[in-house]
Amino acid sequence: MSKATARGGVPRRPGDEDDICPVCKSSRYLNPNMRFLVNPECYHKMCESCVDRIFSQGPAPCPVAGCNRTLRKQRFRKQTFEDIQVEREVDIRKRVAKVFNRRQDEFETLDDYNDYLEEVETLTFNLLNGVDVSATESKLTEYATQNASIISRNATLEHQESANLEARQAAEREEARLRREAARKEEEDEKKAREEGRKEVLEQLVHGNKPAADVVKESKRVELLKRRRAQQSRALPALPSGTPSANSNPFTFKGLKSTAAPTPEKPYDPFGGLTDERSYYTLQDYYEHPWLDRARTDTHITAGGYTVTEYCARAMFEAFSGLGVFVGEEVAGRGDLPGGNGAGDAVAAAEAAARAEKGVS
Amino acid sequence: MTEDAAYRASTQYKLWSFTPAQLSTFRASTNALAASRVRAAIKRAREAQKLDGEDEGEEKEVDCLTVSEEEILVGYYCGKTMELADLFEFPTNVKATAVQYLKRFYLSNSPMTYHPKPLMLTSLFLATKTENHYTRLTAFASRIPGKKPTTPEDVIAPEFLLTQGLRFTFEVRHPFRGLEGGIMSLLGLAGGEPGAKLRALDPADGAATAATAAAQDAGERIRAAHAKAKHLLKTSAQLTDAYFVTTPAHLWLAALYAADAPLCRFFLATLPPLAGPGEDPGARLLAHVAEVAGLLGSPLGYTTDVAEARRVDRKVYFCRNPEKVDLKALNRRQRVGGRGSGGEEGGEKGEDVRTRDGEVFG
Repeated sequence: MSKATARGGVPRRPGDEDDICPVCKSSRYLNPNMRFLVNPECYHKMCESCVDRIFSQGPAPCPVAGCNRTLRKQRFRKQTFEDIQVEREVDIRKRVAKVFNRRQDEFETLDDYNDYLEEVETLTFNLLNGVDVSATESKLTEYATQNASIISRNATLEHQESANLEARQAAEREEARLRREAARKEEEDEKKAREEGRKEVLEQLVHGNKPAADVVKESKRVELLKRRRAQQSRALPALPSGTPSANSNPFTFKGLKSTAAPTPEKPYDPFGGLTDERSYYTLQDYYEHPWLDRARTDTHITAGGYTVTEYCARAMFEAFSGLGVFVGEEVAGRGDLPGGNGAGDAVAAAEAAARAEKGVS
Repeated sequence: MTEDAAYRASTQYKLWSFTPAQLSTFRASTNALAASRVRAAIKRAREAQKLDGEDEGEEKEVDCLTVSEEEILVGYYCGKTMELADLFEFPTNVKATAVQYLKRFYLSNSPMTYHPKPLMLTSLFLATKTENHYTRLTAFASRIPGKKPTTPEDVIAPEFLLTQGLRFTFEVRHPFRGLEGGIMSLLGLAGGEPGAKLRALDPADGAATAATAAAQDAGERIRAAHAKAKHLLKTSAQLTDAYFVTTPAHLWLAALYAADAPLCRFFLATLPPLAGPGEDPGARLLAHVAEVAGLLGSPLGYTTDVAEARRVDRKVYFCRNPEKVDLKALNRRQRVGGRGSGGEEGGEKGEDVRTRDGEVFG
């Protein structure tokens, strides 16, 4: 560690000492602050000063012999992995994962999800090893345009999840810190109390009280201490129970993660699709009936909330309920009379069977 | 939910609607089963008597009731139920429900097994409860006429038996309120545009002459038909099998048809077309209504003379199932059996009930 940060504070891996820029041939020995950059277009390594020199004026072809790709300064970045192949693979995988970010809960079964993963892996392999690159690329872009909304939704979901995770971890760390603090404080208090007790005992001894009284007093003090400690330990469990409230910002609950289905909720129907449509009549406001005239006007009847319209609605309904039901035709298909057969005859048959058995035995 | 769908959801449609053919086969099978059980029970009773040494000597073959005799007996007691309900001044729906309970019960049970007389009281009392017409049990029992005073236990002992026979369905859909609805809409028609057509209608079959009928006010005519139809529904409709073979809507239309056929035809013509299979549902409806109206004209049992009913009642005395006579003891044993510590009969019954619980609630 001391060696890596020895000069200029630039962290370096062993073996970097004899790195030579393939473009300008300057070595790290001469320029200890030299940084190598790569462009994900062709992954040819060159030093920072070369990048500045060649690409400051705008896009230019790669200076490495045989590589004619046009590079831009903006896209140069520091190499993360020593092996350039690994660097490239990680880049491609990142790119593919950004597009194919389907989640497992979007699939019906685990098998479906696994098939999907395998397909994505095949695509990645093709990109990595240059098999059908153009076709694969076009497939990738097509998929990306077709599923733009799903991709962005999953991306935000993922972002939220990671944010949640971080928040949770932070909350846990905070909790642990508080716990440690509390423990430390408790220990200190205890120590202080013990010290005080001892001092007091000494004072008592100096003033020449009876040793028996001392012993009693000390024991009392110890008892008090114990009680206090017990109180503290009782108060301690309340601490973690308070902390989850810090956690309960609107994004932490679990349901939010899985509510990816954007189906709009239907308006609540208290009758479950039941309507009171009538096929044979329309209810009139007023029905003439000699019986009802008194009920309409008599305060003894109307005071209780009785309305003649309710009666009329019911009477009209019952007048037509079953008008289109022809029992003779609809019931004829029923097998061996399920209606009555269950009660009497079944009992009778069962009893007869029981009788017969009894008779035999 | 349309009117027809609502009716199809009722237990009356699901469990208690049959074709006439189904009804007769069902009654025949109930009668045959009951007869065989009665013979077996009487034989057992005789053997038990022999064991006790009380040999009666003669071994007569038991003369069981026929299906028609059963119907006469049940019809007679249905009439008796109505008389009893009139004595108590119960409303029409209580009376009608009690009668229908009896009719439903005796579809799957025979009068030879359970005599209708005690069940008549039970069904009337059960009807006061299901039709929301509160009557105190002790008051009910004390007011029942008879040589021997009726105790409350007499009334409620066969109650569970009856509810079992009813398959625990207590709703009976009556045509009475439907008739009121029909009359209300007819009166509405008379006051409106079709009123002129109504006045020009053919006279009812019973009306004296065309001239008097024409002079007659349309409202008057409707009211007269209403009174007649209501009477039909209250009396003979209860005693026939009409509740089993048709719907309340057809039933009140049939009563109206029987009272004033042209009026009923006029009303049917004003209805929107029926939704249903077949070429002409309207004509089919009219034919069905006329058929039911014919049925209403010949109530079973109600018209038979009392002497015939008495004869059947005497006959049933000799072919009753001796094990089912004491309904109170039967009820007590069943209760104990339900708690799982009864005798043989109770144990069987309890088990039987438990196995059938699945059917009732499943």
